[in-house]
Amino acid sequence: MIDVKDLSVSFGTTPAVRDLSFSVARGEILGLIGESGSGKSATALALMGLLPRTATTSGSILLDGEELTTASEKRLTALRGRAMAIVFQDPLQAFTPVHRVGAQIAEAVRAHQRVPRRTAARRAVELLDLVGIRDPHQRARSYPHEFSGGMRQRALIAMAIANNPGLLIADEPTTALDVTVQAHILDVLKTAQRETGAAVLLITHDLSVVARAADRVHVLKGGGTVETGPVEEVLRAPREPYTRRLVAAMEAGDRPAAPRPVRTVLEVRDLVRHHPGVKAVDGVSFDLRSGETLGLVGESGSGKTTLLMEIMALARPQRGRITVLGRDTAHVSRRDRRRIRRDLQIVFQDPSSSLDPRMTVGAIVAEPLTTHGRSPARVPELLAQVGLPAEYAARHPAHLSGGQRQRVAIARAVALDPEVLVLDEPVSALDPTIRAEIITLLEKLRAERGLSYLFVAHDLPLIRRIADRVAVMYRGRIAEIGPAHQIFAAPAHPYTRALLRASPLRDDDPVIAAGCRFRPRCPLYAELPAAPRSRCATEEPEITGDSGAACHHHPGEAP
Amino acid sequence: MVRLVNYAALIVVASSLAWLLAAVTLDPRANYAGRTPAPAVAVVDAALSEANLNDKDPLLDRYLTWVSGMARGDFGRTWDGAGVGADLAERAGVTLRLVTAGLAVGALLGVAVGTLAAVGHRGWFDRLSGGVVFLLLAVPAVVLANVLIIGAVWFNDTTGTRFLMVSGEFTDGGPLDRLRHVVLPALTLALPLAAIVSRYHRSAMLDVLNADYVRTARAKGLSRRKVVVRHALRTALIPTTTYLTFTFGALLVGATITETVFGWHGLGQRLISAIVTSDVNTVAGITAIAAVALVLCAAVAEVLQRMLNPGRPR
Amino acid sequence: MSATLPDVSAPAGVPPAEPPPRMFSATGIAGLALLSFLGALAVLGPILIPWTASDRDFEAFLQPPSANHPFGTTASGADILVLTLLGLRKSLVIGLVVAVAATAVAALVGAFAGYFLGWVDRTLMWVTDLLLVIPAFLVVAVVSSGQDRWIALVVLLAAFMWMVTAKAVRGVTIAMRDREYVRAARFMGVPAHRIVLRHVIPNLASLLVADATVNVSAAILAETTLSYFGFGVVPPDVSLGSLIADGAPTALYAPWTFWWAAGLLIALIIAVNLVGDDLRDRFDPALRAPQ
Repeated sequence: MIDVKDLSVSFGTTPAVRDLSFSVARGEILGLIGESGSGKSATALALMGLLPRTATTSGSILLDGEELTTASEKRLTALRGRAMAIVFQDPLQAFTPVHRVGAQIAEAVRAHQRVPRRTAARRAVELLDLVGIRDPHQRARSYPHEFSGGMRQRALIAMAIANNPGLLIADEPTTALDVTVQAHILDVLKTAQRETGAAVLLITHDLSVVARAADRVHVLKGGGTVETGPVEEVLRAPREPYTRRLVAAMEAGDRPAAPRPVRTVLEVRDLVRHHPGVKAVDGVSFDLRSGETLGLVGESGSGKTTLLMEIMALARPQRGRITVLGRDTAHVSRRDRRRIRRDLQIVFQDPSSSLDPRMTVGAIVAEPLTTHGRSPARVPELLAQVGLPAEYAARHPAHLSGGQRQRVAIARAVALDPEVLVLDEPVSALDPTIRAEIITLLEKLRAERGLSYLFVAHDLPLIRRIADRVAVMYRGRIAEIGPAHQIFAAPAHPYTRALLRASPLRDDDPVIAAGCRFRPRCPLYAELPAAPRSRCATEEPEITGDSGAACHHHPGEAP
Repeated sequence: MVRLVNYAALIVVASSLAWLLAAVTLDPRANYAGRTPAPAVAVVDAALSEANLNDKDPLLDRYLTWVSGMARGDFGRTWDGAGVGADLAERAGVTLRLVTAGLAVGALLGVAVGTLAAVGHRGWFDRLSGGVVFLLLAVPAVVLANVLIIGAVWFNDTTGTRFLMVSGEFTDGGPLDRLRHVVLPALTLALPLAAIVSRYHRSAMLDVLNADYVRTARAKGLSRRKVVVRHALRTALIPTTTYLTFTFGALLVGATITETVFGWHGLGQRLISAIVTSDVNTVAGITAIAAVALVLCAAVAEVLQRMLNPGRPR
Repeated sequence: MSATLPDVSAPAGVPPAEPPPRMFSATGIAGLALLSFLGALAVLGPILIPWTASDRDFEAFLQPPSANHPFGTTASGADILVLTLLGLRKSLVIGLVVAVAATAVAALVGAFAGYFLGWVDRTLMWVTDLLLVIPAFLVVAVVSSGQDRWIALVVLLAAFMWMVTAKAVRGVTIAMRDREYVRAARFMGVPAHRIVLRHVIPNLASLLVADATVNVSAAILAETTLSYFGFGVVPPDVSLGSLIADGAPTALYAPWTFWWAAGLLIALIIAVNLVGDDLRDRFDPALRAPQ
């Protein structure tokens, strides 16, 4: 179907893709995997003929025998959406915000088929139905922001297959989504492929996505091909060191089980934070002990970030209690709050936005020191501890790589020798290989300084590697909490089980007012007889003690 | 609700402040100073008191008289006894016609130029329009008005028609006659406005043209033109509209130069003449109108936002 | 580089080197050159010219440019060259002082309102709206009478010119409150006023520099308008605005009374805008970052 030979793309003098060759047959799914900067997205845009005018292309792209690199803009416009279609990664931006979703899909239909408006609108509803959007008539009239991330991604797939394209490109279709939703999207993508018989090019940086969906895989690095072959073969026996590292990053061993330390450094009891219309945090309890790492997982919107912000605010919560190092945040003076801040620091997800772009690295690392009246003389030592040469102190964040920036953010966080470090997805904005380096650094710092980590992540293998204990959050509450080895070996909550197996779960079910909030998605609930079911519908399950699952029917409980 | 109170307070405080400032510093009595024969002091006092302008009456009394008048919708009187309300109503109409014409031309021109400049980013049109905009932004309204007048005189001379009129709103009141009068003042307002709007809209368009959804629209096989109009322009108009709404409000009392040069008897021109003749009530009345205009514009901007951006999370 | 690192492996990826500071663009250089030229004219011109503002040439009333009076004379026999250069000087000073003052006020008001929100915001924005609707004409006309009138004029122009920028600054600040580097500073224990001064305002530099240059032009133009109505600079002081106002009635039959001042004013504003555009590009961190 598509045949790419010696494709090279460069922006000015910077090459993005070098001599790339691959082909995808009808009905086949080829995974194109690589880190950012490996030329994946440039390849996708080159195939669609959507590269910016500053880019130069050489080589050949044959779509169904037709050469695309020399095709006229008019011809390309006619082919786009009909012969080839693309599903972009969705950071909320892939749909025009001011038009209804249904209208935008109908527009794609009418771009290539001479049909009346009404027919196109009906076709849009059918397509939404095909990708599993509930209530498609109603939903076609929604605006993009009214969709959840997974729904938008599915609607994008619906739009892409509106004209039965021969080639379907999916560019990072599941990035930024929860694993269970990821699985669902990949299933939908496969359905779409079956329906249209298209050749699918699946572009991702995530090996697990390829493992789940693709037939063959093509590993890119620095614009060129490193390795190619059938998925099972490459995963089982990766030949190239780069591929081996990728595969290794996917698998992780358990941390050894150890008795819990005694001293509690952070305690959260029945914490509630409701925003207008959203119960972001709805009764969360856990504790973190000295030297321990608690991994916090959950889909986006489960309340993880709100929870962290509530803790970091060190203010009186709406309801519940937060105790940091023995002090109740509802009853601390201004001065005490400042003192607590020394011992409680945070590292954010995206170092390119957590560092003030106008300050030098030295000034950034010195800021906590000077704020608390200490000498900034320690800055070079701190930089050395996070593996940065002292001369970087004079640089601005814009002139560091992503990994280096995160090192700066970590240096800033440990500058005051805190006891507790809150880590909000500290590596998810980084490429897999850099990710491993930062994790090694964090593990080293923890060992050297006896830090306690509250570590938020959606990458389960990563949590398995770094956490002593794990808390799984779902819609503002903790679904399950306990020692990491126990949760990974024998998950008790059906949601935890789905997460670990990456079972497909939908993300568009209604919010539950009473009873178990996981009920609409729960595979266990679906199979239960009527009598035990009623308990799920009426009674909110609770966790008692420092471990357990919020489920009426998990193995430890009588059904 | 809080906002409504805020706005009401804004209108009351702004016009009261303007009234107080004018009442304390302006001197309506000076209007009688140059008269020969000099009118008797008692006569002047009576006339001024009649208009609530006598500086010998206690300030608080005058203020209360003015406020209770305003509360009933009575704007008070000028120093020579004319009603302020009727005068301002008539002038508001004049200004409204002028500003509407200027704003419509300026907005259309600005949006068109801004769109084309953004689509052909760094191309010849972008550079050319950028240069013209630069020049226009540097020309003060007085100079622009005079240039336009010189141009109109030349145009009339070469065509021998006397088509373009440089003074007043109309002579006989027919539609063509009104058009002949409105061209120059409208252009005086529209050209600088178009210059600013085009820059503003250009940057809004550039932001939008780089957005992912424009790429999505291209990927589904829409032509460049359709993408620009239906997706990019439509979205970029949202901030531009807000800007235009507030500009409209500001121009209602801010078109002073244009109104003065071209002899349109509007609000801006009246503000100047009221300060010169020490008409406290007129000054305060115009301030009240400006405050109401600002509040209305805020409301209209809000409504327009809801219309243009239905998908906005609220 | 890995040799300097302790037990962690070298950060992958070639770190982009700090680029040399960007040079002024061609248009920026042109603007700067024009601005310096006009500045030099304004400072030196009146010293070098044999005429002063109060001199009257009783042999030349309303005369076109000649060897004796290169820019011509006014109806009262004053030398237009010296008047224009003195006017240029005053307009430059007014423009610069007003713009800097107005932008500083705007930055402080906008940033504090946007960062603190709540009652601080409501109060500050209410005052901002109030100043927007009080006619500047009225205040300038009644307050700035008497001696040193033009200094009062500068203060009043600045007082009536910061509101729109303040609103823009407030909008950007609200968006910036939730930036992670602002949060990071808050969680570090940095006091709120220091966050505003150290993190918020510096990151608005590109907006502020751009607005300051716009305000230079706006101040000069506002002064022109005020002078046109007789509320601005008044004799014996002259500004480009008052000259334009004086010359406008005779522009048609004695163009030299109008066009020298108008032309210099336009050139001045173009120069300021050219420099401003360039400065904005230089201050924009997004543009300085490697692509």
